[in-house]
Parts: sequence; C-alpha cells; structure tokens
Amino acid sequence: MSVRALLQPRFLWLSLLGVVLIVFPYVHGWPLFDGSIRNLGFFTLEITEFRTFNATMFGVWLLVAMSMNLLTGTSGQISLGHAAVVLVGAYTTGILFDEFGVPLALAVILAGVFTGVVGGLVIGLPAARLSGPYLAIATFSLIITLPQILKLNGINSWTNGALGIGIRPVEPPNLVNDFLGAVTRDAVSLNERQWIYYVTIGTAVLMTVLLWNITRSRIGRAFVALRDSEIGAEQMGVNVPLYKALAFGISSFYAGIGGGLFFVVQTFVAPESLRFNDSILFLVAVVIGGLGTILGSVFGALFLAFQAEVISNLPDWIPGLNNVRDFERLSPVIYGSLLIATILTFPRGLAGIVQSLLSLRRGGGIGAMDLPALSAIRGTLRNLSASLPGNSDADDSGKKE
Amino acid sequence: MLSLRNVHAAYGSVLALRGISLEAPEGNIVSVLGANGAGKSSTLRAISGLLRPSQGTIEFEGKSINRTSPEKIVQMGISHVPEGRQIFTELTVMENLRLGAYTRRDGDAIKSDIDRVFSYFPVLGERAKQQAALLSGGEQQMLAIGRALMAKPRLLLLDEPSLGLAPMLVREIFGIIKTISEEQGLTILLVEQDASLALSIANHGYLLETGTVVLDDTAEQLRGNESVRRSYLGY
Amino acid sequence: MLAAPPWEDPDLFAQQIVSGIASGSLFAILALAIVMIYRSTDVLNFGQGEMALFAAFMSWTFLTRMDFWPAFFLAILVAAVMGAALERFVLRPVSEAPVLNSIVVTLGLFVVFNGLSLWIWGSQPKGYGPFSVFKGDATCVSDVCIGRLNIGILVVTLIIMVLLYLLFQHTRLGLALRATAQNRTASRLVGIPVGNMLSIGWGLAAAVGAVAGVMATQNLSLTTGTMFAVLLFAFAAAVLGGLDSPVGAVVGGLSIGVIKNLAGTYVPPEVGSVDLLVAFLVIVLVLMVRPTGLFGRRAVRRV
Ligand SMILES: Nc1ncnc2c1ncn2[C@@H]1O[C@H](COP(=O)(O)OP(=O)(O)O)[C@@H](O)[C@H]1O
Ligand SMILES: [Mg+2]
Repeated sequence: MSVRALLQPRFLWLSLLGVVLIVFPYVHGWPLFDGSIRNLGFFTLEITEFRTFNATMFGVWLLVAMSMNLLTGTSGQISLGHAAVVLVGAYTTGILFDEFGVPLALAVILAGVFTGVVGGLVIGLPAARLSGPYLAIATFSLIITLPQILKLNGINSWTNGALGIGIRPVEPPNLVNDFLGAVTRDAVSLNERQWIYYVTIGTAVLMTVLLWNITRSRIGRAFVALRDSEIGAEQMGVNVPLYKALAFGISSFYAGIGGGLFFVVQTFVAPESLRFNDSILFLVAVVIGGLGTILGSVFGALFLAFQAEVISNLPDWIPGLNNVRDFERLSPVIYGSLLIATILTFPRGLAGIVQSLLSLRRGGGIGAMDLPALSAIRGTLRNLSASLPGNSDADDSGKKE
Repeated sequence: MLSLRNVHAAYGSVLALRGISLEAPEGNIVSVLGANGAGKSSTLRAISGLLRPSQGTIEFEGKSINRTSPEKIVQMGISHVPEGRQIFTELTVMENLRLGAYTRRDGDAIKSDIDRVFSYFPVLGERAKQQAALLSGGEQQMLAIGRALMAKPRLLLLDEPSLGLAPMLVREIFGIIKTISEEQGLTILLVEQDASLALSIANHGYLLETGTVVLDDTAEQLRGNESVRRSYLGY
Repeated sequence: MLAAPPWEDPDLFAQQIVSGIASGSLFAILALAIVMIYRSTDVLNFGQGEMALFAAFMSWTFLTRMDFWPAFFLAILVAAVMGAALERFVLRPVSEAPVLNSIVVTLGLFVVFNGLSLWIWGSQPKGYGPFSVFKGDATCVSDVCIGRLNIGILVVTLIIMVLLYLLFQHTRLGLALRATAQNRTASRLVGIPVGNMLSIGWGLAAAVGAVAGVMATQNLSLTTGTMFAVLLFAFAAAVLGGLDSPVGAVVGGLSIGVIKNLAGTYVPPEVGSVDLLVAFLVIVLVLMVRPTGLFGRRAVRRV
C-alpha cells in the first residue's frame, strides 16, 4: 500500500473509526468524560460502563443485520424466521459449551458453521422452490414453533427446557492481561465486559470486511441477479436453486455467529430469548437502515441497539408526549408505523437517503435522487404546471429521469 | 363522435404516443394500422382510460374524457375489446356477459341483450354455463366482443380480433362485426396488423409509426397506396 | 399417562373429533379471511390475526355499554371499515411494488395492531365472563359432549360460509369481486370500480377475521398473545387447503383442528406439548409435497 493510498479520505475515516472503537471502553474512564455528557439534544448520552455493553450488543446486532440484509436486501429472499436462526446459533453455542465442553470461542465458530449448513440445506434448498408468500409462511411457522421444539422433553437434557442455558461471564485470558500489563506498566487491564466488547467488535469488523468482499464477488452479483429477476438470473447462467441455498447458507452463518455471540454477551439463552417480534424488528432494522447495503446494516444495527432507549427518551424531548399514558408500550406501534412509512416513502431506507445526498453533493443534481417520494412530488408539480395555460412544454423538464 | 388531438402518453419513461390525432365519425368503421409497437394498443388504452394521456385532448361526443376513469368511460358508451381478449377465464360465459353489463341497471333489457349476443354468436349460447377457460380461441374472441356489446356501447374499440385465429374464423368474425355495426349503427375503431382484412370492412384508415399518425385516408385510397401496399398489404 | 387408543375408547376418539371440528372452524374462518385477501389482492396479510384481536378487544369494550350481540356486530362493522381504509391508504400504494414490500407492510400492521391492543387494553387477560352468551350445559350424545361455545362457533361458522357463498355466487357485487380478483384490467374495462372492490374485499375479510377473533377469545382469554398461535393454525389451514381456495381454507381449518386435537390426545405427554409443532409440520409437509395444497390452483413458483 502506497503512502498515497494511506492518505485517502476513506482510509483516514476508517482509521479514525478504528481508533474510536479501540478506545471506546476507556472513554468513560477518563476524567474529561467522567460521568456523562448530558442532553446532546437527542438523547441523554451517558458514557458509562453500560455503554460498553451497549456497544457490544451493537456488534452482535451488526452481524444479525448483515445476515438479514444479505438474505432479504441483497438476494431478495424474505425470512420472517430470522430470530429462529439466531436462536439456533445461540443454543448451539450453549449446548456445545455446556454439554460437550467445547471452548467457547470454538463453540461460537462451530455454531456459525452448523447454523450455516442447516440454514443452507434444511431451509435454503426447500425454500428454493417457494415463492415469496409461501416462504414467508414457512419461516413464520418456524419462529412461532421453535420455542415449543426447544422445550420438547426429548432434548431437554441438552436444551434445559424452559429454563434455558446460562454461563458465567467470560474472563479475558491471562495471556492478554499479562501482555497489556507488561506493555503499559500495569496501567491497562481488561475486565470481562471490555474483553467481550473487543472480541465482539473485532468479529463484527472482520465479518463486515468479509461480507464486503462477498457482495463484490461473482457470488454477490449472482445474489443481486436473483433478487432482480429469477428468470433473468437463470438466463445469465446462474444456478438458481444453488445460489438461493447459498444465500440462506451464508446468511445463516452470519446469524449463527451473531447468535453465538448473543449468548456469550447475554450469558444466557432461553426458548423465548428471541421471538417473532424480534424477527420483525430485524426486518424493520434493515428496511429502515437500507436494504441491500452494508451501510444499511450498520444503520439497522444502530436501530436495534438503541431503539428501545430512544423511544423511552422521546417524552423528554417532545413535550406533548409526557402526557401520553404508558408511552413506552407504544414502541411497537412506533416502529411498526416507521416500517410502513419507510416502505411507502423511502424503500431504500436511510442508506439510500445518505447515498442520494452524497451524489447530490458530487453534482448529480436533484435528478440523481432516486426517491419515490420526491419523484411523486415532482410529478405533481409537473402536472400542476402542465395544467397552467401556456405551459405546454412543461413535461420536458421531467424527461431526464 | 370521437376525436383525438395531439395525444401523448407514456408508460413510466417509455413514450408510447407522441402526438396522435384521429377522428372516428358516427357509424363508421375506422381502422388503425401499423407495425408491432407502433402504439395502436396504447391509442385504444388512452381512449378507454387505462392509459392517462400526458398531453393532448380526447373528446367523445363533444366531451373531454382525458381524465375520466375507465368506469365512467364505459358508462358514457365506449367499450374496449382489449388485445389478447382478457376474458374472465375462471367465470362462466354467462357471468362474463353479465359483467359486460355491469354499468347498466336495466335488468330486463340486459336479458334480451344477452339473447341478442347469442344470436350473433350461437356457440356462446350453447356454452353459456361453461367456464370461459374451456372455450376455443375463436370462441373466446367472440365472448370478448359479446361482453363489450353488453355495455350497449356507441363506440366499440377492437384490438386485433384476428390475433391467433384461423383465417376462416377471422372472416366469420369480421363478417359479424360488420353486421353489428350496420344493424346497431355502432361506430368501430378497429386495430389490426392484417391491413388488407381491416381495410376490407373499414371506411377510413390511419397508419401509425412510433406513436404518430404518418398516413390517413379513406380505406379505398389506402388500399391503392403504393407504400401501404408494399409494407402492410404484402403485394 | 398414555390415552387409550381409539379402538379401546371410541368415545374419547369421537369426542376429540367433535372438539377438533369446533376449534378447527375458528381456524377456518381466519384462514378464509387470509385466503379472501390473497385471492383478490395477492397480498398475504400477516396482520389478519392481530386485526382480529383488535376487533375482539373492541367488542369487549363495547360490552360495558350494550349486550353481547350488538357489541359483536358493532366490532365487526368497525373492523370492516378499518380493513377497507387500510387497503386504500396503506396497501394500495405498494400494490405495484415487489411482493416483499406488501409482506413487509402487513408485518407492520401486525406490529401496530398488537402494540395498539397492548397499549389500550394492557397486559392483564380479559374475559367475556358473564357477558358471553355461550354459557350453559354441554349437549351430550352418549359420552360425546359438545359445549355451548363450540355449538355457537360451529353455527356462526356455518352462517358465515352460507352468507359468503350467497354473496359471491348470487349477487352482482360478489360477481364483481370475483372478477376483480381474477383480472383487474378486464374488470376496469367492463366498468367495475376496481379500487372500491379491493377496499370492499379487505373490509369483508377484516369483518370475517373479526368474527374469528371474537369467537376465539370467548374461551381462550383475551390477551395480546392470544392470536399468534391462532394465526399459525390459520396459515396451516390455508396452506393445507391451498392458499387461493376458499373451500380449501374451510376444509383445511377443520382438518387442522382435528389433527391438533388428536395429537394433543394421543401424543404421549412425556414428549411435551406439540400443538404448534403439528401446524409447523403440516405447513412444511404440504409445501414440500404439494405446495398448491388440496384445492389450490395457482402456481406457487415465482414467475
Ligand atoms: N405496459 C407497458 N410498459 C412499458 N412499455 C409499454 C407497455 N405497453 C406498451 N409499451 C411500449 O409502448 C409502445 C407502443 O406499444 P403498443 O401500443 O402496444 O403497440 P402496438 O399495439 O402497436 O403493437 C411500444 O414501444 C411498447 O414497447
Ligand atoms: Mg397492440
């Protein structure tokens, strides 16, 4: 890599992001940030130990959002059972560790592989024959039924029935703290939360880079072809059933790793840890974030990590909401409406808006913004101006679209 | 009776009509000719309200119908027999015909009109209770025309009634169309790719190319026109 | 303890069939609502169960002001109006978009209605208790009994099916609804106001679903979690019967009810509860073996 490449804005931004991610768990340990930065106007930003946990969950959700987005956004396969796949990842990790004594790190990786294979072969291959509505029903029935399956007495000895599986928080290996101590003269040592934060964020970053490469490979292009038109994909020589199964497989691999880390971070999993509502929440996240892009998944993960907190803080910064009874209970109504509103107005989500704004700044002009809401507004304006007398050439202005 | 002036229309960003002007005087059979993709079907769709013109005017009996909904247009007296027939295949022949009269409220007259359709197309009467999917191609075309007649139109839009039918059947159907036009004083706008066939029953013809009228004359003149003969009549 | 096999205790078997048919008719009604919408608009309404639940809660609230039947009909009427409005303002804008969009929108409806129910009526289970008209002694023939509620459910189901049959087969509106479901362009060309038909179709389905909601919550208690399982059974019913077949929805519903009850009786308790699992297996089996279901016609593969 040349020095030039290192000075590129994109690289600088990524380095900055890397530094932020690395120092994050220490921010609240510094005098300047002692306690909190209150009321940034949006929601109370308290930089406390809790934020480290928060950020860890962001890493988990990023894996889940990428998994959901690869399947639905990139490949066009709907799944309402994604929470079930994540749950399988979590349980597999738990069972491998608890029953078979597999080291936790290895258990998470094996869970990812196992979930990926199951998702690809058991869900993906049959799903390849089904169209959208049927696939939706099949995956819906999976997530509704999975808790009952997990509670079956026959597999009780593994799953522990309704009680679920728990572990103690993971301690950082002595090697790590010894090393850090030696390097920093005992100034820095990691506690359990900080350690799992680094593990999770590290995994998430690695897997983001991996996904970035996958979507740009032949496989990724085949997925997109599949989404845009199965017949078209077939004509381009894409083996449709194979690639559908592959989309489910890779997506499930991500969900499995995410589920494994979910278990490790939460230190607990039970049959109802993730339910149908979570499946929908994942879908909401990637739709609002932006279907089919990694940036969309990042927004989606932010949504998953912070939506509960933001919604419960809403009454603090929107005055009238204080009077609304049980406001927090309205959160599903809010995200459900947000979901519908996004699909109706900005189907490409936040990432789509950001991309359009960027292309606007690069001189693409309003015409480059491909937002249905905007084109609807433009259409109305055009009709209005066309109906005015002496404006017969009004429709020329819209031709460039 | 019907007049289009400078009509433009588009499917999204695909311009299909770029300034169509044509007239269909009362009681006439007017034929619209042109190659595949010339905009013939789109012209009919614009008239029946399925495709909204972006510019220009469409007048029927002196009233502008540019922005009128398809339902209203049917009520005003225009029936459209679309390309590919578009009958309700899962419903019976009888139900198809009753749907043709959907905008009417005169129950008894509807019954006698159904009988009249059966007199033009006796096969339909024999198969009244059958599912329309079971009809042959020619019978389906008859049903489509019969269904359109049930709305008691004064203007009938026919889109390629000969499509996919055996020549003998086509001649039979065209004969019936001519009879209906004469008996009921019906004005007909007939879209056809088979120009010689269309010009044999039409009074007047328009030739379309890429969304505009390039030639317009009496049927007789068009039959004699050198370029029409070469490109569309094939002799 | 294992239940005695049918040949040793035929009454138990007959009893399970009878109760199965009764609970199955609930699934049949909800499945009917789903199928009606799927046929007419190609939309799979995941919100159907929660819309039904919302209607049930409404009828429960109305009970404070009126008797059971007025409350029942009022709730159904409100549900119908809501269904029609949802079609017009929420579903129609995505009618030309990919299937994914309309499914996502109905999932949104699921969440919104479930959330609204929770917000308005809270998490405490509600019951119709003394207000329910379906109380009193069971009717028995030898040892096989059927409770008032189950009789009520069966009668209501029957009435709905007859009414829907008459509407669709013997009225002008019904004919127009069927025509719209089949071919929208042709429907517009014969002068049917297609938009209105779609709204009416959604309104009707919402009303039918509301009946299922009110009846289902007569004995199950009325909580925001009640309809999840019912929706799963209804989907199993619709898939078994064929997603585009109203007759299939009814046959499928009754079958699922019976299968579920038989499984509940004859699967050894050591296994654990399996009712949802049964629905899941039915769905998976049908989709693998015969995706069009028993009576469905439309191709299942995406074109
Ligand atoms: N549904 C449609 N969407 C987009 N373009 C269309 C559609 N229907 C027709 N067109 C385009 O409009 C033009 C005119 O088509 P049409 O009116 O069907 O021609 P014709 O009936 O003379 O064969 C063609 O270029 C065709 O590709
Ligand atoms: Mg054509």
